[in-house]
Amino acid sequence: MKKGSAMNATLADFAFERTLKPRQEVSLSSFSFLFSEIVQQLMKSEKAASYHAHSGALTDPMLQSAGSGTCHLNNDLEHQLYQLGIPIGEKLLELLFYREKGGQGGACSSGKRETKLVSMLHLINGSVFKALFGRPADGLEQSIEDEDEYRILDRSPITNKFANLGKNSQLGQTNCAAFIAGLIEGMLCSAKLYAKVTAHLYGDEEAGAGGDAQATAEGEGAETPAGAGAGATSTTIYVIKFAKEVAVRERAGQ
Amino acid sequence: MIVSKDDFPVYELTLENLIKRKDYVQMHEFILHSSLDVIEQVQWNSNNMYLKTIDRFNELLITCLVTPSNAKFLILHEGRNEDAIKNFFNEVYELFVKVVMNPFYESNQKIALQSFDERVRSAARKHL
Repeated sequence: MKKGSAMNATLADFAFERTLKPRQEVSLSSFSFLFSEIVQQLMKSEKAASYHAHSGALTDPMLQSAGSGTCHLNNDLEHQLYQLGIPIGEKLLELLFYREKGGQGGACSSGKRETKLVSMLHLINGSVFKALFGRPADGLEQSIEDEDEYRILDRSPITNKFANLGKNSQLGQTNCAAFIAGLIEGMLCSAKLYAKVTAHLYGDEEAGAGGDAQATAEGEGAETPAGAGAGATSTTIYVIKFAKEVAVRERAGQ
Repeated sequence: MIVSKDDFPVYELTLENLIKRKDYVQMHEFILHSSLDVIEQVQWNSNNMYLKTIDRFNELLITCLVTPSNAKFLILHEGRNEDAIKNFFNEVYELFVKVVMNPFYESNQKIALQSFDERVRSAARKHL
């Protein structure tokens, strides 16, 4: 974003002349390569940080400034992936709405925002997942115990496709889909539907901390995950917990 | 003026010909900022992006557009033709999305891009 040299100006001009129409899909291998590099980079920086005795785990200044601050994930790598996802979610929301309604200069006459919680979730569940991964998510439901909590089920998150998950990985239970969770959160938060989104692995190993109650509750809602075959271990649930004020506003609006 | 989702003013532009009266020029910014409170209420009543004229201060009107990710476009004017403002907003919105798409642009960051400024100005010349 520096003004100045003629070189920069021409590049910026080029950016404004491009259209925002959907382009060809990105190939899975190039995405996976890039994503694996990101993960490796994060792991490296994490290791470097732990050598420098407790001097703040995040070395990348962009990661520190991005996002909402408080760490609610116990795993550092997951947290960093999640932080990376947030700004992408914000941008993506703007772009998708632009493509859907605002295109061809119709922002004022037909431009819509999403102000309702449920319709926003449906949008994420449907068209956002379609735009990102070429298919809708595998299920959206409201939690039984807590009505401010929703879950989106994803049988085979693209980030986990080639990731080594589960006990045999050296990092223990790391779920790279934390990236997608961050993405969803960025989207919700920028629409002022404040929420915390966390990614949980859903599988038979899921007996330990935190997610177990949720995982069992999930069982009756979803169809048998056995059909997913090899992908079953990477099935991920995005638990979306909305902030109190959002729920209050939602009820007041009805 | 463009205000980001967390209420940071990210871009401001003053057009000389938009407001003829020069009585309270120093208050214009203040008026615009105070209208943010009104937007906060109005934006939940409708799910349109374009919120029409939301506030007035004597003869000055404030017209607003809220994007899906809650960036707000505000314009302070003296009863300008609504279609002109709509067209202007449409064009600025497209430019804004393009800025946001820049991977090096973080939300709440000031838009200091020269070519953005030029393009907004030329849109203003065309429509307002």
